[in-house]
Parts: sequence; C-alpha cells; structure tokens
Amino acid sequence: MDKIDHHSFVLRVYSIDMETAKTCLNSWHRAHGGKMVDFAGWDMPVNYQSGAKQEHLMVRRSCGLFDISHMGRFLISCPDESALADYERIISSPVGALKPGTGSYGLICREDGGILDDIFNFRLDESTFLLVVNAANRKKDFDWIAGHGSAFRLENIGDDVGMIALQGPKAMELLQLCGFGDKVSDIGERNSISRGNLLDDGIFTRTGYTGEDGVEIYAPNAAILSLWNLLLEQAEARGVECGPVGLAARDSLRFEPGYALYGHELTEDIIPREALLKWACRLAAGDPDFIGKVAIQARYAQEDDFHKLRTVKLSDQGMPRQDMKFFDENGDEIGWVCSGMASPTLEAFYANCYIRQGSSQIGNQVYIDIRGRRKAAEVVKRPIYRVL
Amino acid sequence: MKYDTSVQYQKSHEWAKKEGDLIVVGISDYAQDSLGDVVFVELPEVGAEFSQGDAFGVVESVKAASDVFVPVGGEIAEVNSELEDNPEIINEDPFGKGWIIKIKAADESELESLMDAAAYESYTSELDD
Repeated sequence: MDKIDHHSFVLRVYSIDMETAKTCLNSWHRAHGGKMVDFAGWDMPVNYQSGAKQEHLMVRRSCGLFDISHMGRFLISCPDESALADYERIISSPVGALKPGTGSYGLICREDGGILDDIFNFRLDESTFLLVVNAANRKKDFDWIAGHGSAFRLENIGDDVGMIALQGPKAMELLQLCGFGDKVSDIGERNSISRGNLLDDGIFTRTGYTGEDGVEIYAPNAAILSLWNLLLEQAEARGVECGPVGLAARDSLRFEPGYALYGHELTEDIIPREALLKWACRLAAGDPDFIGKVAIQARYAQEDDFHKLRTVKLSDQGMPRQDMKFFDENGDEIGWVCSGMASPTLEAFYANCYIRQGSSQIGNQVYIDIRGRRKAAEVVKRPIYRVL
Repeated sequence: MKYDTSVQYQKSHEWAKKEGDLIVVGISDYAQDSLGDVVFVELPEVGAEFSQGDAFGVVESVKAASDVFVPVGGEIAEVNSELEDNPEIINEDPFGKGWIIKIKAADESELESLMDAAAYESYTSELDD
C-alpha cells in the first residue's frame, strides 16, 4: 500500500532499456573519432583521436568539453515543509539549509551507513531541487528515493535534459567569448547556479570533476548539440584551445585532484568514515537526521583499526588495478586498490586504496602485489594535484 | 588502420617478423588502437625461454592490462628498453620503433602457423561486427 502511494508522486518511472542508451551527442562522437564503449549501459566515447593523455593535458592547459548526459538527473519538488523533511532524510549534506541558487556534494546512504551513491544536489528555488547522480546508479537511486519519501514529487528529467561540462583554466573565458556573460556573472562562486530555465534556455552550475575551474551546462536535448558546436567553433575562432574529452581522461582528471569514483573509491560496503567524507554528512548536534546517520556516528565513536582511503605513489613502474592487494613489510595484508592511474600531469604511477589505519601514515612504505610481483609504494599526501 | 604486409600475425594481435637470425615481435596497429594510450610495458628478462603462445609480458593502457603472447617459441634475445621510458611509441609506431622483443626461435617453422596481413585484416573485421 505504501509503495503505491509513493509512486503516485512519480511522473515517469525510470525505465532502462536492454539496449545501450545513447546521449543526444552520440552521432557527434561517432562522427568525430570517438572510440565508443559501453559504460553503465551507455554508448560513450572513451577517447577521441588524439588519445586520453592529450585530452587530459589539454584540460589542465586550457579547457575541454565533456558529454556527461549519461549521468542521472532528477527534479525533486517539495511543495511544503513535510516534503522538504522527507527529501532531507535521503541526502547526507544540507538540504533545508541550502541557499536557493547553490548546490552541495553529498551522499545517499543505507541505514547501516553503506554508501549507495555520491551526488550533487542543487536548490534551484525554494521548493525545487536538481539532483545529479552517477550514471551506473540512476535506476537504483530513483527507486531508493521513490521508496523513502512520499511527500515530495520525483521526476526523472535525464531523458529530456542533456548535460555537458566545460572544464579548464580557460573555461570561463571561453563562455564569455560565446556570449554567456550573463550566466557567467550569475555563477561567481563555486557551487552556484545561474538563472534560467532547465527546460528552456538551460542553466549553468559552477562545479566540476577535474580539479579545474569550469561549469556544467544543463539544457533540453535539442539545444545541447548547438551549445556543444558553438563552444567548439568559438574556441577555434578565438584561439582558445578546446576539444572533446572522453571517459578515460575524465577518470584521470578526477583521480589527480582526489575525487571519488563510485564503484571504485565508494561502494555500498564503504562508509563515509573510511572514504574521508565526514564533511559531506550532517553530523553536528541539531542537524536534521538522514538515513544512515546513526550508524555513521556509531562508527566514528569506535576506536578500531578501520581502513582509510589513501593515495600511494609507486616507487617502481607498474599499473595498480582495482582489488589488487597491499602488504606491509612483514608481508601482512593491509588493504586493497580501488583505482590505479598513470598520472599524466605528474608522470608517475599512483593508486587510491583502502589501507588499515595503523599502516596509513603519510610516508609509510607499503607493497602492492601486481600479478605476483611485489612493487614498493609510499603513502603520499592527498590530493596529488590541486589548483582550486 | 594499418595492416603491415611485411609481418605475420596471430589471433591475440601480436605480429612477428624474421630479421636475420631473430624474430621481432610487437603488437598490431589494431591492438594499439583498441588499447588506447599505452602507459606501461612489462618486459621479460633477456634469456628467458617461452613456448609458442606463452605470455611473455604485459602491455598496460589507460583502459586495461593485456598479456602479450609469443608468436613463436624460443629464447628472448633482446628487449626494447626504450619502452620503459616511452611506452607511447607502441601507439605511435607499432610495427617499427614500438617493437617489444626479439626471439631466437627454437623452431622457425612455427611462423607458418601465423596469418598474413590479408587474413588478419579479415579476422579483425569480424571482431568489430
């Protein structure tokens, strides 16, 4: 009975076809040398002709354009206080305290504190939120949200509204050159939202997943391709280096500044304490509760030797891959790899990993088993790259 | 996509070419293109012995780690140590500067089991379907 009530507020239940989904830029990627792969059920470019490393360095040097329409986008309407309270229980970061026109990073957790997803929640106006979730989790999140609140209205807008990102030190300059001065002046601060209508002229948000300055642009699918082309044409005409960036470089660009990738650094078996995400959770006295808060607080009170997210730099060459094991100098297993990377900016091999707290001090020497060979690595300060 | 006609191929995408007494081995243009940017190559020790089809090393790209297999059995006579500092030459010149090992073949007739460029091209075109 409960379930039926919940779904009466759901305008369109998320349906994921068995066939691979295509974003509104799919034909563009294919026509421009995109090497297409299946990613979370989407047909996406992993890199273009110049290769992932060149795309990565271009974003660090100037700017790059990303199709991120595969991510999930939900609109949540909270017509009254009880709807807002319902929604607030699902998100770990401030919701009621979020100023309209701004957004914040947060988590969706299970009752036991396990991380279901990491999200960006934007408050468009007093009663409307735009929730951006990971592509791989969009169905799971939609069902979870629909199943854990009945007073708000939940709508999947991901099929109608596309999403691209422009990131890099020249990103804001390029937007100005393209005539988006008004939108740019709206988003003077990080995590802010421009004026505009999602279903009409679109909105800009000033966040990012590369460690560089930049924006995400949300607009109806029909407008996304023209925006994408306009940005690339103007960049060329005005002499601003810019080009499309695929998923491989998106991964290395997020790795260097220390951003988590769901399925690697974050899973349902990881809790915020281990992932160093206390800052994304409302844990202060008097903060409204959220699902998982009690379990998360209990974990912070424990003094056990838990695993902690750490970054290590390999002393030897070798590519760490997810789930490879770490050992201390006595040969005792102390953790596992969640992401490995040949850092294009720093030109060395790194891994993000979970290491037992007792072995996780910066400067500590650890050993990683790469296909039977023990390779030495050192725990280093995070993040390994920082501009902002 | 380049299908060098002066070399022979095996299904796991390595090529082999006779050069004097030795067999030079690398990965095909199709393989480097599928892998994407190569970031690391794990090379075998000179003197190590392998039978045809054995994994002799690993080519790591931003996307995946791929074992590489010897197209003919024998002893490793030389490795391309240039790849240690510049693994991307596999992407840039897979049939030339991006060679990986040179083998002193135990039995050169094993070369006969490999595909020529036309057969390999038709094999890879089926993989893409």
